Amino acid sequence: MKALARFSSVPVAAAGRTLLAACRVVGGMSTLQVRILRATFSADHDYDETLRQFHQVGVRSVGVVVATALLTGAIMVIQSGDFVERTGATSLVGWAAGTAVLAEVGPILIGLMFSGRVGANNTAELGAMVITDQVDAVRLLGLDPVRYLAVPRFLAMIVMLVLLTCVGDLFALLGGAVTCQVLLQIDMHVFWQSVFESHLLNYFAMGLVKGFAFGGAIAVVSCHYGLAVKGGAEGLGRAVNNSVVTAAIAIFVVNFVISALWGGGG
Amino acid sequence: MSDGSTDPPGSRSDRIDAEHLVVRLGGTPALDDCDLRLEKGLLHGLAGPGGSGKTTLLKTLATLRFPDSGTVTLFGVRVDPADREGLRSLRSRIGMQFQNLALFDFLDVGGNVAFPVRQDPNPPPPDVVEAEVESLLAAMGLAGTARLRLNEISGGMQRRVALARAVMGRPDLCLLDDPSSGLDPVNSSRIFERIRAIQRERGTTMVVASHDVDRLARVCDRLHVLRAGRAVFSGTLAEAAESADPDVRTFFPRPLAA
Repeated sequence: MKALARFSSVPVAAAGRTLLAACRVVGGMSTLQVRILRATFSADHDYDETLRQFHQVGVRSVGVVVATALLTGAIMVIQSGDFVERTGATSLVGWAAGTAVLAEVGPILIGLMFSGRVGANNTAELGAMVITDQVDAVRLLGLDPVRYLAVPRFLAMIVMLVLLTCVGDLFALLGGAVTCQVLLQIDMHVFWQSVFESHLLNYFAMGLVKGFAFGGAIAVVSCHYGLAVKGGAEGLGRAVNNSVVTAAIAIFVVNFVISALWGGGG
Repeated sequence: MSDGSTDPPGSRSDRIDAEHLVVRLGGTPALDDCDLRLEKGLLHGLAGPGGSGKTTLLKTLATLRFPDSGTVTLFGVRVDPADREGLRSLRSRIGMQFQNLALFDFLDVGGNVAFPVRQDPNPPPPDVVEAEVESLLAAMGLAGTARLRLNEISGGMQRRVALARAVMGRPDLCLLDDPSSGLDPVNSSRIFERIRAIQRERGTTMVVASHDVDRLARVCDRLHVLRAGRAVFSGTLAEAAESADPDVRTFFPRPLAA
């Protein structure tokens, strides 16, 4: 009987441990978020480090974002191509691709690419700094690691993901237009006319808000896991893995919330 | 930091000591009832077997770790983890070379050395900082390397850069964790000579933890031996050689010529 009770308590104990671990992560991230926001709105910033992060986070991500966006636009047009061919509604091709790209698929894919490239790199960099005592060196110099290390990354990721979303939108539409011309034999002008006549500004704005929120979420998640690294290379690898997975989940949750609040009309 | 434990002005305001320190790392005590008193303006050597708590003791003195029990007093002020401003003020008087250097790879050599003073709320003019950096680098045998990236210099040179950063800004307490680790005997001797020269020139209170006990004994004014997280000896080299503790005599068997 005792053995049965012990056996049946195993999954409960495991669920409890998982719940506690999740609470620790959410609590840690919430605390970090508050500390970052408080430090962000103070006047004392390290502008050199912030500029370095803008370059590292933004400029170096342009290539991967452009490639992702071009293909995303092309895929959206291909997906809508069958419907357009069957109905002859060529004037809707720009609307269909534009809506999907600007409001949903573009920001999400760019966010996920950004998370995989910048977020993972950020966790690895901060984690390595923890392991090699660089964060202790920062603290010893009287600097707050959140203010000196996390805030510049937070600002850079938010600003740069919004800008990259703009760039991505442009290249996604470009990819869609070229695909229209080459694969569907629909004149590019028809595509652009359809885009402009569909009044997609609202969807574009929604995409930018999502870029802003995704940037903040990726920054908090990646900084949390980076600064909390324990143990050597093994701990670092685990932190990077957790950071990427959690950031992806955060992106989908944030996307759901914004889409629901914004409304179906875009 | 201005609690009742702070010494009255002029009495023992240079006091640096640790009393009954217990620091646990993952449940295991790294320091276990450790007492240490550092006299001002002397070069202190810290020896002990691997895992005896040298690095933990240095990090605790640097206020980067806080004891589970016991007290640390720096410059006559008892360290209070809850007093952030007090900690900031104490840390501004401490320089440290970390065991694994902790140099910032996003900065060049000069940027690393200048980092402590550039982050000061009231930094000196840039030309003064640059001159100080050049002077320190020259003293370390690294003249002309200020613009090099860290991956362009050897491990031994990086160790000297870390030492230069630790003494930059003329801290009152300088903590050096294994400054000669991984160096050949010639460079190891040189780095100890430089440490001694800087300490004599500035009168800084320095603590050097090292496994290189022969060289440590040659340059230090006071020696401290840790065993299993506890300080089992504090004194001069001559006193160490006469110690009743066989482990202490193993580390410092006889006085060596200065």
